[in-house]
Amino acid sequence: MSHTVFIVDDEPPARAKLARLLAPLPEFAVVGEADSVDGAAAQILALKPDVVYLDIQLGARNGFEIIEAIRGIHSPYIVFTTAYSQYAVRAFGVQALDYLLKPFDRERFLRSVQRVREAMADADHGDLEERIRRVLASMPGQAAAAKQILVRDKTHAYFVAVDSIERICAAGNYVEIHSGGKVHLVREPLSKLIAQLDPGEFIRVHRSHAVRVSFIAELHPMFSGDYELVLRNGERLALSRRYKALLPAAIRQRL
Amino acid sequence: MRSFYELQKDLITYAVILVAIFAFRQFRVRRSGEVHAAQLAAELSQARLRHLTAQIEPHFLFNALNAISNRMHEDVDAADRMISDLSGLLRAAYDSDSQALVPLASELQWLRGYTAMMSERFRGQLSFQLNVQPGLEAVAVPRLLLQPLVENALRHGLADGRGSLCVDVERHGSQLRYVVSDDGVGIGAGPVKPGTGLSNVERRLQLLFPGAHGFDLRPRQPRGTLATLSFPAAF
Repeated sequence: MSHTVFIVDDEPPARAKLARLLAPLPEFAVVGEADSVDGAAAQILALKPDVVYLDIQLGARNGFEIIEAIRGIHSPYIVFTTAYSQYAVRAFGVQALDYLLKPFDRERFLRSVQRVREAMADADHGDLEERIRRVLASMPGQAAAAKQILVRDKTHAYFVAVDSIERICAAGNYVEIHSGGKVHLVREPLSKLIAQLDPGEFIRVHRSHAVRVSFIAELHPMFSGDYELVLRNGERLALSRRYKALLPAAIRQRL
Repeated sequence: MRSFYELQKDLITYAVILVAIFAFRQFRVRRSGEVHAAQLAAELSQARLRHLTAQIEPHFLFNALNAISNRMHEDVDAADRMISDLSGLLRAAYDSDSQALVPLASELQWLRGYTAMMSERFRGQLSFQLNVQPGLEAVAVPRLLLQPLVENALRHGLADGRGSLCVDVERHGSQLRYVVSDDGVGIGAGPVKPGTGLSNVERRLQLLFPGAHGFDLRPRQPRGTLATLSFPAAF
């Protein structure tokens, strides 16, 4: 089955280059191109491509605006292509499927295609929400991350400082906040709570777990391609391979 | 008793000598300080000029290389020309030791290379026109002064990579005048607030030709922006 690809770049040669590199790959079919934010968002929603190659600087506007415009309606795999390494540095590790820095050669491009293939084979889009959270959080002008979380128990309400949180995990209708050996229960979906935290500090490692990056002590590969995390207090957690690609580059490279 | 008076007299003499030496040293320190300060001021304004002179931004370079890496699969000669244009731009940018003023011919050579590169990157979408009054090629002009003007027109006026840009160079009395116009989105009514690139242009002109330059940015009819810049020149 052929996967549909959409190309967004304001420079015709840059679009031509992607189309030319994709042409010999039988499982990919370029279904459309756009050179602006508005044109791209409208066409992506109409064509519903599987993959979008997305330039970041589009004239005076920004490729992240496209992600925001299609959020919740269509969720393609995003591969960024950009000449801006400053975006790359800031966004690397919190990004979509890949980040191609221009100019790139065929070999580098094919490596990114391989990432797309792997993501498609692993068809579950469960981590998409997490990817988008990170992409959006890396944009300038986003709301600051929460400093404290409000917790209510039977008798009163109190705040837990985010700085003291080591990990959070889903438990039925509740979320457990682990902080300095204590567990606080919050009645909120995990994704909603995670959305309030800085993605540079907390990463999702599993459908039901998020961990403070600096609280991870060790990573051990498992037979299945998953990993086991050892935390600083000795606790062990599973790291799903789907979330592995989202780890900060500094950690991922050591795997 | 007598020795006591002599001691007093000697003390006064010593004191006078000390004060004289101290005053002389202070005078020398101040003088050399003034010379030093003048030297520093000159160096500082040189450094400011260098700092205010636009450089090639990395993303310009990388996008240009990306366009070349595509073009060479289509037309080797065109890709070759792009490499030579880009090299000219890099040479001008890295030539930071050169004088603040260069002949107009070299400024125009920079402009031709730059517009050729942008025409390739936005092929069939951007058009450029350059009109130079004949006989001005040797006139001394500030180095890379056109760059921020042209970049500004492309970045703000023609941000979507479509439209036309026109540069006129002409003599206006004792001044040389650049007129850069585009048919892009325009700056709208009301006072114009120049961006960093353009305010650097202002500051450079102020350093080079204090009070003798002109810079004006206004909406162009029926659409677009018109930037006019003039400075004293020896014809």
